[in-house]
Amino acid sequence: MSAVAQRKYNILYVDDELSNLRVFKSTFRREFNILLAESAAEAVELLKTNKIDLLITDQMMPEMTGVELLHEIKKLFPNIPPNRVMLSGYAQPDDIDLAFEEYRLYKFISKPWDEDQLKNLIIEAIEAGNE
Amino acid sequence: MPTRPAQDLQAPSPDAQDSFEQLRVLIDNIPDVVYIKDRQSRFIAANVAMAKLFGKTKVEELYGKTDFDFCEKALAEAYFADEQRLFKTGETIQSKQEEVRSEEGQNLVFRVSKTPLRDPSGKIYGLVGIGRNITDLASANQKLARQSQELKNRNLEVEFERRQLKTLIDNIPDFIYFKDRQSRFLNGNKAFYHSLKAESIEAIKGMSDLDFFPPEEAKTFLEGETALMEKGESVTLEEQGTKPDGSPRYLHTTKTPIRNPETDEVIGLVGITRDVTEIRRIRRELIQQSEALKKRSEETEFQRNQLQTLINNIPDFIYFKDQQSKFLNGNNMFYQGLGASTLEEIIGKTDLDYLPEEIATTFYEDERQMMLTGEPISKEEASKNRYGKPVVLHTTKTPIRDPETNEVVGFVGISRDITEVTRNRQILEKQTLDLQRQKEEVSAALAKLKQAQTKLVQSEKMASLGVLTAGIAHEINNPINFVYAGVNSMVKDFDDVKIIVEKMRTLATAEDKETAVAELEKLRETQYFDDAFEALEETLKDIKLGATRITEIVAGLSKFSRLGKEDWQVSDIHSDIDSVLVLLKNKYKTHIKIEKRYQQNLPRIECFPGKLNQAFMNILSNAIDAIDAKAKQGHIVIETSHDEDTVTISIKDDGTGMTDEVREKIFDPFFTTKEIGKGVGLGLAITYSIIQDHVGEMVINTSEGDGSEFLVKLPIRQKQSNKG
Repeated sequence: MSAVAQRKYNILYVDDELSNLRVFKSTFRREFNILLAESAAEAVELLKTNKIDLLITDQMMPEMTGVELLHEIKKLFPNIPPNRVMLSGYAQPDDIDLAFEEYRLYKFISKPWDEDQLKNLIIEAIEAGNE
Repeated sequence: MPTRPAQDLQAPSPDAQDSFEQLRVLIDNIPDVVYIKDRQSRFIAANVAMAKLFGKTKVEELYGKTDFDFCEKALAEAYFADEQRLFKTGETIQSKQEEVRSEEGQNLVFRVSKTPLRDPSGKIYGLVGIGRNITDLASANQKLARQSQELKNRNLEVEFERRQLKTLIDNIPDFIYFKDRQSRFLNGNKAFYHSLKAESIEAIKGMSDLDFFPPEEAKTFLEGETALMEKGESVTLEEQGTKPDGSPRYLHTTKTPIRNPETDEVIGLVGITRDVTEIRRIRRELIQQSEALKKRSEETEFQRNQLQTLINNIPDFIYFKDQQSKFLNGNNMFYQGLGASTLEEIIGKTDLDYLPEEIATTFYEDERQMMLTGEPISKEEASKNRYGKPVVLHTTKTPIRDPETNEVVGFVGISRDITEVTRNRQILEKQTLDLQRQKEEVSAALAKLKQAQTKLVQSEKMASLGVLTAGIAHEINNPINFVYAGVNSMVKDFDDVKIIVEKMRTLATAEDKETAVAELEKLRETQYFDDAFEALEETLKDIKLGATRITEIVAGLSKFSRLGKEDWQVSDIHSDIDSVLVLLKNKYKTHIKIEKRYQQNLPRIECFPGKLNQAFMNILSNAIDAIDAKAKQGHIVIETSHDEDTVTISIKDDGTGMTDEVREKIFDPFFTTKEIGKGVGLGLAITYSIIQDHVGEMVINTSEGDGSEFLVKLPIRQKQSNKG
């Protein structure tokens, strides 16, 4: 807990649904520092200017999907740890497989998420990335 | 001239001796017998004729004797009785006939007169008798009497015959009449005068035909009769006359002249006339009938000939057999079929003479059975033709009965060679069986196809549902996420807010209000009150949004799910398309912009909303796929419009478009350009059929590389016939 107390992890959540973004932030704003992005493009901009401990992204988004975003991140930031979680209502298994293999996806979670489960996964993913 | 007997004959006086002697000679020469008898009937005198009568030559031989001495007793007694009566009564016996038997035994007849002799005192002392032999006269008289009787009898007979004849003639229905030389009626029978309306022949005697018939007619009759009488020959002729009622009358007449038997001169005529009007009528009818009969008989004969010809030319075997199954008759086909050259050849023979024994026996047994039961036979029979080749016959045998006794006396048979027919029938049956089997196979195949089709339609549906599922899962999970996670976060936010709210409750009763407010203010900062409060408001909105979204998706899904039997409904096309878009959102939202150009106040249309949704789903899916196949981004324009009767929906994409080849096939079932697993190629075929169900039209404008436009036209109102 001391670590938590020392500094809150920065988590970037990308989803084209504003409601999703808001509910996520309401739920986790106490434990984590939450950054929100309405699109993949916006997320890329935030990544450029912030140190992000964990990226959580939706898959089905207009213009750039979650997987495409991961691809973009790998291209832009080849060396950052694989702290990436996908949070999606649905995704094509092929796309997800690609994300795991190529884009260092840590976990895929289906909507709707459970608060405790997601919280534990966030911490687990960050710690796994930091090792 | 009869000789008078001598009267007052007395013994001659001596004075008159000479005259007595003369008298004596005279008396003896008289051919009559003369005698005198006393009261005892003893002869006291007699002449020679008398003596001769008794066979004596001398008269003296008679004297003193009586008739008893010379005659048969019976005759003598009769004479004696007469004489004694004379003596007693004194009456003369005048001209009495007496029979006498002559000495020669001859029966003679004498007419005798006996006169009493009186003495001067008047006392009768004897008698004088004179008898004349009238034997010849008597016999002549007898003959005469007999002849007269015969004549009388004859007259009676003649009279009888005459009456018979008259009765006969009167009762003859023919007219019989006698006319004189001038054709005047002399006599006639009843029929005759009745025909002239006369009561008796007397009433019309002296009249003639002129008095009864039209002058022309009568004149003709009379002229004919005159000619006949002049010629003296009898004539038979048919005469035509007129009945009193004016109708024609036909008479058959024979007229014969009557001649004076002495002079041979024609003095009249006798006519016999028969009214043959009725006879003529009957005869005419008879002739007509006979002619009709003759005609009918000719017709019958003709028909019989026709029949015979027909029977002979029938290509069936027709034959007659007797009780012993011997041939009586048969048509040409029959005897020729047996190998005979004439009918006569086969008569009296049987099947045994022509057919193999086994076959002939079978026929014979059948026929025996039929004769016994009287039941006709109709069956197929195996036989052989005259060349020994097996044939199949269809045979009908019908008993013939004696019309009077009703006994079966034979039968008529008709056999048809159905060998070929049977063969054809077998072939046909086989073909029929084959056909039946093929039909069953086809039916089975069809059933399989139908099953396959059902499966395919189902799998097409499943495929599109599969495509949907991805989107729907995402689309539904997002709002569920708002709701689910939102509620959780609200709980936390509320906890934060609750601390402040509870602290605020204590504010009113706090002693040091300033401190309390300060604490509250601090608490508000540390407990993220503002954040929580703000979050609460937002989360509430998000939850509501989530709930609404879920409701919409479920509504869209339920529309889509009603694909089975559904009723006509009035539906809003815009809302239908929107539901489809909700379901498809996941498929297009990342890269396709949907532009809706909905016309305001578009009329609601009568449709099957579920089916129509599937149609729009298919068109929109294809549009999305067409864009996906071409580029990362794309546009779909959905435009609606309407006129009085029709709503038009245009769905236009800027995807790949179609080649002409593809364009031609897109409605073909199982035609697909997609990879395996993404539908079986029934999507647009089903869509087409759905539009047809709505009596709508679908037009496709496309060009390769530039995208496609699907134009769907739907009637606003369905005709009753279509809805039925």
